[in-house]
Amino acid sequence: MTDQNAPDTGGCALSVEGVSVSFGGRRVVDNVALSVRDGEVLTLVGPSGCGKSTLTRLIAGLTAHEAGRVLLGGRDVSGVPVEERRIGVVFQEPALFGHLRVADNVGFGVRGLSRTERAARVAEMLDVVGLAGFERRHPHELSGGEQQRVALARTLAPRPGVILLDEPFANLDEVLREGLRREVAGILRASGTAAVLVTHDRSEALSLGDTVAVMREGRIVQCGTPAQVYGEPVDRFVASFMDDAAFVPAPGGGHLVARPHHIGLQHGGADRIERTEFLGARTRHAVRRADGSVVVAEVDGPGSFRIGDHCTVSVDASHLHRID
Amino acid sequence: MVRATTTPGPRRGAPGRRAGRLVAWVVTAGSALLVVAPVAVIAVSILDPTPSLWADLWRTRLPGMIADTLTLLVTVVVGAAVLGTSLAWLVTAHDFPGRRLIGWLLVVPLTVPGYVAGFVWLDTASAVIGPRGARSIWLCAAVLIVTLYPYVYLFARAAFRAQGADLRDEARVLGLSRVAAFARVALPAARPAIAAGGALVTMEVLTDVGTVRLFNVSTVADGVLRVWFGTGSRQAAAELATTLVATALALVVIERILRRGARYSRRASGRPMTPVRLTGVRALAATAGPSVVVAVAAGVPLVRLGAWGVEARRAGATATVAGGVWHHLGATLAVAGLAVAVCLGVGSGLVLFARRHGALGRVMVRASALGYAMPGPVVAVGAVIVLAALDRTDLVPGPVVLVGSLVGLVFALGVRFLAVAVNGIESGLDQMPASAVASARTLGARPIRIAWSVELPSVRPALVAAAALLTIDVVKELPITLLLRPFGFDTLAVWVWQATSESLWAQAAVPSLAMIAVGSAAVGALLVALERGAEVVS
Repeated sequence: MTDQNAPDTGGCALSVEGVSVSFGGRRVVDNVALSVRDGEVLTLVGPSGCGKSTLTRLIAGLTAHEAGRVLLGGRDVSGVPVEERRIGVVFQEPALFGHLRVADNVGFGVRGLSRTERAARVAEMLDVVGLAGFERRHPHELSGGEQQRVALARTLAPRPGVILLDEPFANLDEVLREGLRREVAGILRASGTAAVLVTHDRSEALSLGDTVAVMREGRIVQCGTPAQVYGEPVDRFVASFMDDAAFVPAPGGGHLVARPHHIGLQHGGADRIERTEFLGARTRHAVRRADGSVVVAEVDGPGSFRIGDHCTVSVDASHLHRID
Repeated sequence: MVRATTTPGPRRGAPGRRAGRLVAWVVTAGSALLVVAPVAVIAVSILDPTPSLWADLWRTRLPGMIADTLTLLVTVVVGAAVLGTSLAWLVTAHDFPGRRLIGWLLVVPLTVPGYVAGFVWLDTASAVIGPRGARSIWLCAAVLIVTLYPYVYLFARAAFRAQGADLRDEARVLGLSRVAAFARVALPAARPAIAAGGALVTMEVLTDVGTVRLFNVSTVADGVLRVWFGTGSRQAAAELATTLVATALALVVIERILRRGARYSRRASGRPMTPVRLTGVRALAATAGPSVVVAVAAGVPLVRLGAWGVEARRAGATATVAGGVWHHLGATLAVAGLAVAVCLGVGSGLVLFARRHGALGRVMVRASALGYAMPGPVVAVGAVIVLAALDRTDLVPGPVVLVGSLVGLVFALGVRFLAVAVNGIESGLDQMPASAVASARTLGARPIRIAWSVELPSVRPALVAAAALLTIDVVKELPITLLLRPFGFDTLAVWVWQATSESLWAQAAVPSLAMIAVGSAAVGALLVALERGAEVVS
């Protein structure tokens, strides 16, 4: 499913075909096509304002689109109102119903079951998100992370065909975010539900997605496996958005994309260390080159370079990815 | 935060749902029309003026009425705004002995109708300076100020609290003194809230007929009643009422302009303000000042009413022809209960409908709130004209007569006070995270279920606050009740009115105390609701 133009039908949970949305004459989503297979997690990543939230609201049916189709399990739902689409959405804020207990929140979307079956489903979902026994609590008694997990359970409970997660970790602090991120990835895989996770955080996109779609100014500029998007970016935008990148003129035209780990550093020379960023196992250095350009290089451990040190940059260009 | 949640219109909606939508449209548009009709009728009446009436009025009373109305309006609004705002700033930003208790007590005068405090102070002042001197527009204004300032106080207090500490601390860090920080930062930031409270005071003054009558102040509202009862001409009363409509509309426009842009600036900071501890003489003054206000507005009236009540009991004058205090209390509670139920029911229906239907829905909500900008006598006259017209049509079955029925009275009260419910519910819904409704929809809930099990339950504090404010308003209300009550259906307010118009103060004591008791229960509910997150808004 790396090719955005070919949504296949077999086991395809969600496919979006040529949709567009404009607000006040500005195209916010521009002729986008995507598809997600059953059980696949697609991360939609891009800078803020690129239209990724609008795209999810459009898939959910919360925003109308002008052109194109949205298909769920092969069925065209373009004209179907939100409440009949059976799409689960987890928003940035947990948006729990404050007047309802946790159990009633989780059971809110479960229809057509007896009381006992419903209670069983609620208990099962709470167990899945690691909150077994929280049924009688009120949302205001929970921490931010717990609230977001209840929101996830509430979304999973009706067994939706697709789950959309719109920056679900954005409001949480760093430590909580790390843990919850891993946990949610596990829950989504275990549930086997197709999911679209929206984020502006590139490491989140790379670590959570089976597929990563990079969005810019309303368009999807690249869609592929995390390794492809990181290692074989289609253009300079994707290359620099996913991580630091230096662009080395390639023999025979175009440029080669050099990631920090492709770049070596030696002491002495005309280049200077301008900034250092200690990451624990590695250290990144921004190096001002003699011609004025800046490249980012990475060395193991704390390294032996200090700000202001003279150095020389070297690139092993033998198997770098080439772009235009 | 994205608030708009437009749905792709179902291209092939089920016929059942389309019928449901049609019903919702018809009911909502119908009730909005019905609520707007009395106001529209008054506005239209001026298109066919009666020249003789105006010539007559202009030669005799009208110039005096206009002068008295404007004098009273300006004095009371400015006085209540200054008093309410300073008290609010005193209790939110300072600490002094009894601060918490005083903060609550300052709301109590809300339960004392102006005409009750009025006759108590009229009698007290008469004993000192003689009855002729006591019946002055200035004493009238003073009474209205001490009974109406709580509106400004409640709004301003909420605004100062919402500002939190950060705004003031920032101003002080930037080098402003405490007084300068108040004058240049806190006060301007609270201006929309103060204007909203001032608008309520304005409406109360324009509407008042009970208090002004006691002090022989002849305002335009009083004139409408006099023309109605004197000549029996609805047309003449309606025409005179248009001047009030014009004034009210002009004030609404001015208030909107003053508030523009500042509406959504609340909830700036989560950290509450740390009050400045006052000591010595300042602390004494801080405790004494508000206590005097509460004593004047509620304490003295309660003591004197109690004494009169005992006197009336000895004289066996604690009942009217219709019955004792329980009878009249029952009538009051029945009217208040029905009016509150109608306002909350229609109000929530309108607001929830409007949220799902964009611009047109909003227009309907705004239009339905017009009655609140209309003085009571105006609404009463308009309502009677509409009800009489309905009585003549086939829509109402033959033997039923709306004019002079309980239905008619509740309808007119609904027209007048619907906005209290609408504004309360809207502000409650505004506090909900926008994604709560979106979540409910993605979970498969239909609009009706979302309204019933998500939106209404989460605005419960706002509904309670609105119900309390409505109760306080309806219990005190006079002109509509006087003009539209069914024969023999006398509320406590009507009893007070009848007794005081014959200067029988002792006989008015028991019903006055009963009204204050009902009002106090409502104020208690209001304060609890405010603590639980409801907001006062207009």
